[in-house]
Amino acid sequence: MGYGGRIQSLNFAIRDTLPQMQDAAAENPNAEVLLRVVKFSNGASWHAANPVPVDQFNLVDLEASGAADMGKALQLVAEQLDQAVLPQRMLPPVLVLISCSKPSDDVDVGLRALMDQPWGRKAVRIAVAVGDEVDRSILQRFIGHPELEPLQANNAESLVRFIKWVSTAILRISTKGEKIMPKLPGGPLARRPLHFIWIADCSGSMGYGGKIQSLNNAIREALPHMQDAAAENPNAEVMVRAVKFSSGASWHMASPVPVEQFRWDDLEANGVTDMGKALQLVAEQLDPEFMPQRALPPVLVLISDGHPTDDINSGLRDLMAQPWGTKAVRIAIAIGDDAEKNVLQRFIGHPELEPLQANNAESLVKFIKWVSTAVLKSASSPASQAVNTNQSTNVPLPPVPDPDVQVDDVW
Amino acid sequence: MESTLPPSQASRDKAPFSGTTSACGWQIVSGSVPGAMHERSGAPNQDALSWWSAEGERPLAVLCIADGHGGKEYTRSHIGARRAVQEAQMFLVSEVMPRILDRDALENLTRFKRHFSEQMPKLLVSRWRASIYEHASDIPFSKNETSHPKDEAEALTNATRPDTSVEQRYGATLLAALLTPELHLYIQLGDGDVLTVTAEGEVVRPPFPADSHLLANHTTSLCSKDAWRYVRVHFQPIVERPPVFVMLATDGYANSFADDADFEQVARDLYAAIQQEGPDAVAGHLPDWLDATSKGGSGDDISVVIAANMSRLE
Repeated sequence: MGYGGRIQSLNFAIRDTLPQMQDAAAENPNAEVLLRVVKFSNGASWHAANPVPVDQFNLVDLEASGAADMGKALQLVAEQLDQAVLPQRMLPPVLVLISCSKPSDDVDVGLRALMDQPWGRKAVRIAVAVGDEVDRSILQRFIGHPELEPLQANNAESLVRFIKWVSTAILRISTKGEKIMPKLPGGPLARRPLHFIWIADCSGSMGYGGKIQSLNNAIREALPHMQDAAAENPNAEVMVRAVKFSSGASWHMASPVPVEQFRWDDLEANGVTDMGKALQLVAEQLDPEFMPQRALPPVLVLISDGHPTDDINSGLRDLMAQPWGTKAVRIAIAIGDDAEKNVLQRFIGHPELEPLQANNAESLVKFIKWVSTAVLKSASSPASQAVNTNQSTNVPLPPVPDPDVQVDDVW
Repeated sequence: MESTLPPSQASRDKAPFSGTTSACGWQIVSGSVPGAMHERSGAPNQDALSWWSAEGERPLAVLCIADGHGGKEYTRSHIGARRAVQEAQMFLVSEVMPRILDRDALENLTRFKRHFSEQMPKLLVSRWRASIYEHASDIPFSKNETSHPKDEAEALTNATRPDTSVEQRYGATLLAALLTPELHLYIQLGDGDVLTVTAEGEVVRPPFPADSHLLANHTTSLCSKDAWRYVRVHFQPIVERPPVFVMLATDGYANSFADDADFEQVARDLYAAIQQEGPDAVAGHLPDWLDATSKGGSGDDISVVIAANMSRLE
């Protein structure tokens, strides 16, 4: 559980969910929800042994090391579910088993001990598999119902979602003492993808005055803020990639990367300004074959300091020929006074939004941060838009920040 | 035309967001939850639903669902959605249903379909427009009216443009189904989904013509110019075995799954759950299921209204 930040993600998920768990418990004040935690690695022990009322519970972070003695953990739980220990009038307990690996001890003994207890059999048993190395059949035996499968968490976000689900929806049902209908109708849930594409000018002129370094720095600096903005709407799956253009155009980062994992590789400046080819590359990826119908409008950010040197009309035409091209949120940043504003305005395609004019590094940072955060937030939770109405942009955009005008540092 | 409608039950205007009722054959289950995204922003649930059903030898039902747009310009779209389902239900129950029950429609189905395919969209849209204009007259727009301001500063920033039409402020989609033993009628304007399950367990959608406008967050709407042109209507004569399960859902539901197959599994699973656990149990759990689906999926409001033919399920 120490690999890939799993244990930190689990600690975060439990702690982050706690207020909502307390709210869910408060909805039925007739149920007294008591929490405790068993941990297992080399052996098993109570991490928090005494049952604590949910409104007083605080999680002490778990740490990862050692094997996975799941069987011993189940035996510990079984001991506490002994009818001699528990009152008859209590509601069925909720047991949530979270594991990332195969058990390293005799799990059959543990399962048998648990199911020998009447409260063990009556308990609501949920299992969360963290990563692909888990033995799901063992988790399925723990659950004991064919209609409910282990929840498969392959990243931090799904782990948080599942922890929230058991802490709120399952708890809510359990406090009412009703039979649980464990499986959500339908297939696996999925967030809506939001594709964010940087389209960056790497022509030779971007090497003058530190422009390309400023662009690299601005995108890199904005990244944590972008990740925070994306995290504010966990229902959007933000995927980032980049196209570069100079003499020709190519994918700087071709595969969409989840924003949480995105890292920026520096661009270098050399060559001319084949912007048209860059737009054609983007247009190819906006084909409905690659974009699911349920996706959110993509965000395209075109950054340039000069005039296109190839067939920009074909590039714009190809982009706008794609339905996803016309639905995209299109932002343009002009670096310096030599940027071809008319072309950038045609790319944007809405008279109410003009290209952002960055004449120094600070303005560029400001604009890059704005598109990475405020625009991303708007695009990740857009309201429906009715067709054939008096509507300007597809996604209402936040106010544009003022550029940082400085006298002595102008591109 | 004298009404030939038997005694009936209907959803109340302030219906609980999860309910069930029975009508000698059709068991209706409904649920609606505000989206996880909207809960974070403080926006009200923009969806509305209603249903009507009648007892008797011939089970009858009308289901309606609507999704208000909820954006900055659509300050009263949650009201527009409610008015949409109210007007649609009233129209279908009082004007369309009697024609079908009168047998006249069935004896000359071609003529009936042609007449109502042309007239129904216009009547639905015009009834809705009249209703929302009435509301706007009763409660005039305020200067800085917004959809869900968090504070005064945001209200000023998000204030609707002065040229926003009345219709736009109430904009919503609309889905409806009218079910009789001889004929099923499906209506759709905008996004959302209609799913049916056959007696053999197959999930089938009404064969509406594709609406190419439904992409990203765009949708055709009651407030679109010439909205009636976007209304899609399908008449399904029931020749042999009718569907045993009909489900209308707002788009927040389908958008919570990666593809159609995963979403269509919802219909199979709910049908199976009603068979195994009964409609009351499903109605009881529906809010939590929809809530969990919104949280783990689209984040949007999710509403669903289901008619399950219990005489077929037994």
